[in-house]
Amino acid sequence: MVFGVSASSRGDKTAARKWIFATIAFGLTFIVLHLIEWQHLIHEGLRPFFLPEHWVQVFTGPDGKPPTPLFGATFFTITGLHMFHVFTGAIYLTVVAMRVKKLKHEDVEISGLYWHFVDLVWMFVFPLIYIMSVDVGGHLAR
Amino acid sequence: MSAHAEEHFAGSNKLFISIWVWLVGLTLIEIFLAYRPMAIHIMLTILLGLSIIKAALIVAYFMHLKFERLSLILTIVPMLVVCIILLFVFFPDSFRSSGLRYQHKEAPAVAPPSAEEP
Repeated sequence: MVFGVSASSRGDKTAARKWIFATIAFGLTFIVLHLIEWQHLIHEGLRPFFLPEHWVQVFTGPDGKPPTPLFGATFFTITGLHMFHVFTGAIYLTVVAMRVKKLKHEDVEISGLYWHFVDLVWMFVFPLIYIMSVDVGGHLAR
Repeated sequence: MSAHAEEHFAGSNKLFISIWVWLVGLTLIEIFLAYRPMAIHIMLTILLGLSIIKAALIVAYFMHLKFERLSLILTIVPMLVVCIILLFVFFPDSFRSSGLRYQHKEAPAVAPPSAEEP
């Protein structure tokens, strides 16, 4: 995306369009990989208000306190909204790329700001959801 | 307007690639840390610190805030800090309700009886 904005600032509309289409391709790849991950988790038994039975066994505390089942709700809401942002971003960038020759440089630049904002959100979602829940002892591996 | 943008748009492709390499490097450090067992609050502090650095790199270079005039930076950054501090207003509520959290139950096969029934 930065290369697209940079090309557009030089007035090179053809290169800008090429870079924006590359950005869209990566965004759509992200969505596809994410949906595959969702499918795996749903298949494993994760639901917005219920954990898979073997997760409950692993995460029950030493005092016998069961884990809160809200991980599913949190996970699906946060990643789902993020995917929605990426999806609307892909549509937005498609419109910008198709019309890039008619648009001013500022229009391309603002679409770039939106895309980087979505990226910025992922900078926090990724460590908080994925890194914090890495299965260190391999307890969940089957 | 577009002449103005060309005039002020700084940053070469080489710079952007080096920022991208930094971002990937910081992400790899995060993933490496994920496999080190450590206390959750230390882990959270380190991860949030690294994330803030990454976010700052994106805002400064990819969203080119660094190349804007100083008054814009002075307008945006303190407002961001104030907004984050305002979110802290909700922390007391989240601590109060942590004892009320929803406990795990088996998935109900049928609708559970209503609480009003004796």
